[in-house]
Amino acid sequence: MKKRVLMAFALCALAVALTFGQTPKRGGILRMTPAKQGVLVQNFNPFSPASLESTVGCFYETLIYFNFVDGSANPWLAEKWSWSKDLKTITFTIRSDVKYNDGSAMTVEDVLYSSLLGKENKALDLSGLWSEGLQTVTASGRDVSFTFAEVNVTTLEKFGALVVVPKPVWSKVDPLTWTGNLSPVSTGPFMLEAGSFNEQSYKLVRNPYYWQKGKDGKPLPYIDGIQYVSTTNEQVGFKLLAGEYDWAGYSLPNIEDYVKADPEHNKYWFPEGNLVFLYMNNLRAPFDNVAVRKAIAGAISQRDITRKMSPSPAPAAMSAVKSTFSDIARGATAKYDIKRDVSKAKKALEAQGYRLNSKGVYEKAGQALSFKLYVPTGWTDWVGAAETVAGQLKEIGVEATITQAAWPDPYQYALEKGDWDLAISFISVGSTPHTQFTRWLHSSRFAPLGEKALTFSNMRYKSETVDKALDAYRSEPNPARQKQYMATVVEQFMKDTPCVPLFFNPTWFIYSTRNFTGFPSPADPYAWPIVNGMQKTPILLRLQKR
Amino acid sequence: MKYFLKKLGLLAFTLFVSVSLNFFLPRLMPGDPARALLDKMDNLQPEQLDTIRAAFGLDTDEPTIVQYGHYLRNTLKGDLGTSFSRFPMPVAEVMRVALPWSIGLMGICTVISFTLGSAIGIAAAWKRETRLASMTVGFFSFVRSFPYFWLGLVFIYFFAFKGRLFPIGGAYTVGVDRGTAAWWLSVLRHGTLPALTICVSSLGAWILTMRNNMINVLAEDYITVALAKGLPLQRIKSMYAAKNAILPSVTGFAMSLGFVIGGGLVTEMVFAYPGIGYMLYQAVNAKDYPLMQAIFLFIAVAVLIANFVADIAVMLLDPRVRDGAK
Repeated sequence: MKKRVLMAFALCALAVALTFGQTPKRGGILRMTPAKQGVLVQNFNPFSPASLESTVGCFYETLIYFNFVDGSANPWLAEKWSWSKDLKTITFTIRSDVKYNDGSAMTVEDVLYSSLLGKENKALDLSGLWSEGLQTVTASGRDVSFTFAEVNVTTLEKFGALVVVPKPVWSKVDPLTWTGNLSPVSTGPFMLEAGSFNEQSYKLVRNPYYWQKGKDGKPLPYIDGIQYVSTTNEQVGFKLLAGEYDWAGYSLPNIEDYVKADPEHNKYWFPEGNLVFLYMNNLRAPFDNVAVRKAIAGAISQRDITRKMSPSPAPAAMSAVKSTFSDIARGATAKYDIKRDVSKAKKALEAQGYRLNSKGVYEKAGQALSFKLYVPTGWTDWVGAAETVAGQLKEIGVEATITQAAWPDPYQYALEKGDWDLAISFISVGSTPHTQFTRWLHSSRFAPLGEKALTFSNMRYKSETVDKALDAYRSEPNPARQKQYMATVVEQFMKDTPCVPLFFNPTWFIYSTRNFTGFPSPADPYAWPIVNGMQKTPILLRLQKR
Repeated sequence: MKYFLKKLGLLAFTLFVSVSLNFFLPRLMPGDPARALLDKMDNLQPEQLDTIRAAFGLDTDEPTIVQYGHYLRNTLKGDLGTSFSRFPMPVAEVMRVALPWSIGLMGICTVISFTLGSAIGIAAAWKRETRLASMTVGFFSFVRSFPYFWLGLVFIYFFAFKGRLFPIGGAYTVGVDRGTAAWWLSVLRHGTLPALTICVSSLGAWILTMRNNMINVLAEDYITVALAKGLPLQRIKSMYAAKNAILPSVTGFAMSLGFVIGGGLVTEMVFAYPGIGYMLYQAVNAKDYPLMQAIFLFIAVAVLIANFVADIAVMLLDPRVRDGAK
């Protein structure tokens, strides 16, 4: 008797294991918000900067998938790659089992053709490989080699944006201006359902020839397709509450109401996006003085800023790196971290010779610490944050008057020329801290006051130590040693405090697990849930019907 | 005839001016279209801006006046260029998608509220002593002061979200074959709430103008004479009073037809209705000159032609203008 019960239990356990562990559940149409609000226009041209977001990632794929969460490069259309000894040539081995959705095979010739497009026409160099110094592309067997003028191992990331298109289709048209790509011939997991495209919606169905296999040995994806239905910021909340979307990439101020409506299924995750910081002009007094910059940083509490925002974004650490990379900042943080401390900050200013004037503002030689704090007009979440910053600065006797300036002009232009003292600005963090800090602090971005810097995020700061470490990283393929270089950069950054990191712009990711499971979450951040490009693809391939 | 020719000449001249303004005004706006694509959410890099400029054809050294010449020639040929925000789609194609919905919804609503509003206005003036008349006028003046936006959201909340009587947004049911009876039915169902919002909030204006005009006209001597002659009341109401009172409203109606295009912005935002008003708003934000120009051009032409037609209509309706025109 006992034995039989045990047997039954074992069988049950086996059945459970089979259903939950082995056989993935297939089927279901995922309902998503398109990135573009309002009227949809059928643009699936991957060379257009304005194509619909399904173009790359659902239809077209890239040589590798560069995961923006952990900065790792993963095989995709290329199964492996290696750098030459002199680190100037990278060779990719192209998979031989990839088919287009019309059943024809993807060839090395297609990869070669797609790679060379940007050579002839700058406008087709969306991956930026050619402007990075790519010299030649050659093929041999299933290998495609890219040779660069200079050593830079970080160009690997750019292959995550190198889209492969079939040569027989694209060589007959002008790729840049072709508007006839109504039903793309592509390698991706999805294809357009014929006749489904209209001004407010379109539907993708699975590509039966897709090259990746699921756990059940059959081709991915598990889901049957994706239904995009256009909406607007004004009404997306209603639609979410009515259960009309499984995945929405919109900002929703009252996100908690959405969760409360069905706590079991309605979820959100707003992972760290681009870094927002308090810009200080390092070439203009008094911000040319590191002691003043540190005093300003000592006035700021990032947590208080984000707590007042709705929904709250993730506060930034003084190291400016995303939490997933915080290990590189451990040493520097122990040494140079700055916590909000009003009396300490005031003492620091007094040590520099500043005295409080009758208005309660610190002053030295007739120059009061009173500035305009610029924010892009109408970016209401930032304006709110700027108000908190101004309030915190006031407590240490620094006056910041919030001034809104139109985006992109004059805001970007004034910052590029270094006309302003204080501003709320941002830097795109990219895939790795190296990308972020190169875009931000490398002296190639530096320009003297009045001259145009390459980016508006340039705060007129440069450091030889930072440059050296960033450059050394470029010729260092070993990840452990790369980390050490980044630790040096972060340490110098924290030592000099050229700006005050405030918070990370949220990546809007609202989802419901009512119909599908397998979404990334804070507990399982396997991919960055952004709808553009390849970042969404691993998610779409993992989702299963509930 | 002289009147007609004068109006036609004026039409041609104003068209030319508006086409030219259309070229220069957007270019006076600060900012460049490639940069407008850079947003705080995006991962686009400054180095890529040149790529995008090259794609848009913005890396040209042509002086503005030469570009203006190209623009005039292309506009005359009917070539509206390529949209930036939806690159490389031709502007004409982008507009073709959105225009029918705007004209359909806003056009029909404007005609309905003009007709209904004028009729109610006439009746309210004719029977202005009655309680019903003053209550109607009072009610619609009250409703008119609701913000459009708010009214739309309230309707969605009660009739679509809570009541489930109507869909929350869009122009038709996704997945239903276009052109079938079921599709047309879904167009009607989806259009009801937006149309109701537009009509309820714009009806008041037509009622008030019409009622005030009518009351003025009713105080005229010739109405008293007509009454004294013992003409039938219905004849006095429609042929003597209303016909004259409606003249200013006809001009107003012509003007409002022009706003059919741009005026749908709020409705399209709240109801996610695929119209051209919201598209214009996006084009302005994205500094999409070609699309902006084309939509403004369309609006200008629509207003000018509507005014021209209104002028002709007034000429036909009003003997004073007609006689003066001879």
